[in-house]
Amino acid sequence: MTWRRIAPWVILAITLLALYIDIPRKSTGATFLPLPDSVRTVLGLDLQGGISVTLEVQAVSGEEPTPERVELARTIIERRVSGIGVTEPQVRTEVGANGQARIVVEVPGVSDRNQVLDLVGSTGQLFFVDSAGAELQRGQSIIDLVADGTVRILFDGGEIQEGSVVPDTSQTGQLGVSFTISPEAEAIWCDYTTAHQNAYGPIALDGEIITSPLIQQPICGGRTIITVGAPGTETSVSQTTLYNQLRFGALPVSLQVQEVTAIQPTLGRDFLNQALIAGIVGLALVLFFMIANYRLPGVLASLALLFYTLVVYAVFRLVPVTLTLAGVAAFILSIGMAVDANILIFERMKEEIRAGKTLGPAIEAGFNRAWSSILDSNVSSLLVAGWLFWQGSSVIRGFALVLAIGVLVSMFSAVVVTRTLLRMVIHREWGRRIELYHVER
Amino acid sequence: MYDIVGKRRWYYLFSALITIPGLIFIALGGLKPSIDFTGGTVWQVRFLDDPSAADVQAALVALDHPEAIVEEVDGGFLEVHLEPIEFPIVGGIPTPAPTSSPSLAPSAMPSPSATPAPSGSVSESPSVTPSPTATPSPTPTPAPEASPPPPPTVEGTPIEELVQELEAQFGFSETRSLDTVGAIIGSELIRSSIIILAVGEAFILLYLWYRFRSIRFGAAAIVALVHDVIVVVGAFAILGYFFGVEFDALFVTALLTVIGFSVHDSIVVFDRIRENRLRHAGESFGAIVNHSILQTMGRSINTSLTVVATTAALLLLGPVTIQTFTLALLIGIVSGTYSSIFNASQILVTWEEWSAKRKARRSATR
Repeated sequence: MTWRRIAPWVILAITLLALYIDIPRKSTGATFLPLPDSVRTVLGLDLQGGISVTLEVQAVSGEEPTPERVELARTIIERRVSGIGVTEPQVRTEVGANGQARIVVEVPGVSDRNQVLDLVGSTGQLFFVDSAGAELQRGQSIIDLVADGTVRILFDGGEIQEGSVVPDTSQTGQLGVSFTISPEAEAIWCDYTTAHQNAYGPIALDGEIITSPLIQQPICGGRTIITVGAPGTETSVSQTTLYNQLRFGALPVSLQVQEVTAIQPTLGRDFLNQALIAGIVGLALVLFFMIANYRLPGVLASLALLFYTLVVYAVFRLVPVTLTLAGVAAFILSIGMAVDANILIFERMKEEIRAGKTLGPAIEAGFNRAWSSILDSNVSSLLVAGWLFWQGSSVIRGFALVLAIGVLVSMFSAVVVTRTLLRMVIHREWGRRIELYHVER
Repeated sequence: MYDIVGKRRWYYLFSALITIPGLIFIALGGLKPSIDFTGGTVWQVRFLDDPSAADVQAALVALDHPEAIVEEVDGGFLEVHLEPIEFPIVGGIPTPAPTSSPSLAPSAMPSPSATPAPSGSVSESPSVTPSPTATPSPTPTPAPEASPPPPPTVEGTPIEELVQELEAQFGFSETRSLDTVGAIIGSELIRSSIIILAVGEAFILLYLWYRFRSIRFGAAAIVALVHDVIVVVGAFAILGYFFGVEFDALFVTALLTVIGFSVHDSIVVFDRIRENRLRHAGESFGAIVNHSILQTMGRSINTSLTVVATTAALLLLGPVTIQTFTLALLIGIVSGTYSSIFNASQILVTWEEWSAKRKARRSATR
């Protein structure tokens, strides 16, 4: 089996696979051919609307916070904002050009910026809860529970004594976190744990139940340990998480909002629709131009361009690439550039035909001679894309990723796909008619 | 056959004519950076009472925002320009002393009868027990990060305060978009953009040097793309000077795309020159370049047309927010096609003839 024989099948397989990935599942309600949830179209904040907040970590008394603390603050903020948007929020740390650490919070699909700003800017609140011994589901809202009388607050995380929280191991060898609490809270805790031995003492953070530990013995004075399970077993909440939450219920670093961007979801949708219409018109113009100018090869290049569009979109969904407005613009632009290799090849083909070559050799010569130009220009594009991806800010990185994917896929579509299609066509009688190649003498 | 190379002085003149006005307006400060670079606030909002831009501006000045500029935009929305909105510093404070709100106040409830049960059942679920480790609990030490206590709670965010003040005067509001950028983030963007552009160009120079075994090709391509960058930046300086058109963070991205496109074009011509040099070894370098340009002209124009078609579709039909981006691309792509044919390749000829002359002179003096 030579490559020439299997190439059509490889291309067909890639096309089908790309189609399979591209078909939207949720919006169309298509339940056939399931896809993992990780495969999806991720739109940037500017296209789906939402709020982005950039917080700069502040030095306190001239002391820079450690990276661990910044990471902890990030985790705390991530916990706080998760669940308020339509899709999951993103919270990441960055280092600004001035060397200060930053936390970037992106909450898509919401328009209530004050909700986000309040969550980001509040100090974390931890509650020990009286559930009359009942086990509470993780994630339940503490406000709802208190409002309908299911629970009472025993005391809050402020009662945990500074610096007393340590990762610990219980007598039975279970991993946990231990701490001491203030004398006032100790009395309440002693009463509750005595009354509800072998029942549950739930804990809430930032308004939600995060864990419902089993009370094994009355706790009256000394250290309390909350265990999460034996080492090596899967636990509902990890020791580190619990430690972080007990120790740093409040934000461990000082933060100041530096940048807020809020876009109404409807405005984002308008932008997306406008960009899509522009993309479809742009694609149609390029297809028309290629067919009008190159006839049969133009038709094949158009098929290759459709292949390109399908595959690039599939890659976007697979990675997944966050598509911002700039990214979509780059994608649309890349449709115009993707045919560049085809144009190079076809122009060269025409030259070879004019120089007296017959069709078959002219096609092969067109591809072979144009190859070095295609390679050089695409490698230089990839170099720039790589540099941008390595160096740039998140907006520029997104753009660079779109650019690089576009370049790689276009090399395959313009060279391999078009060539395979042309080879298939010239095996047919009708495919060898020279007027289909639009060679002006 | 057309003689393109012979008229190269005219192309240099033309390039000077299109770059010099741009440079003049750059020097005149025509470039208007957006808040992405300077820091500031842009806020698109409308109010129930549909106040005029002047009313809202007056209200903002009264609210201690003398820098406010309010303009009417589409859809009955107003666009408000302000300084960056200052936010208070939050977090990093030791947890305050027990201050539960009254409704949630802990009360020492008398405990019901304790039900003793055998403990020690190993469960995978979380549990609480007294800790066996008799770690002496340290007396509360002041946390190292303790700082003079800042205001304990902030009543709403600074944006919220402003919104409430304005709503009190003009009725309910709807915010379509809001963007506030601190001055720190803005100023570093300019620096990092320049570095990104410069190093990107250096990579291209090195790659072309390697591929064409001559620094001339790399240098000529760089001259052409610097030409394109000046044309685009200059065009925005002129637009900024006369129409107040601003350039934003995406503008840098557009410049990078233009650079990529310009280099593509130059490489295609250079590649042909390299090929033709082997085939027509006897001919003069100028003639070879002339052939190469004519042979690749069809491709250059056609590729330009397809890219211009997609860019124009974006400019005319796409969202307003990326209009500066697409406009910069459109100008740059046309300039890129021109410069690769009429600058990059011509510089190679000029350079070749100049060094040939110098060689001849040197051998004559010897």
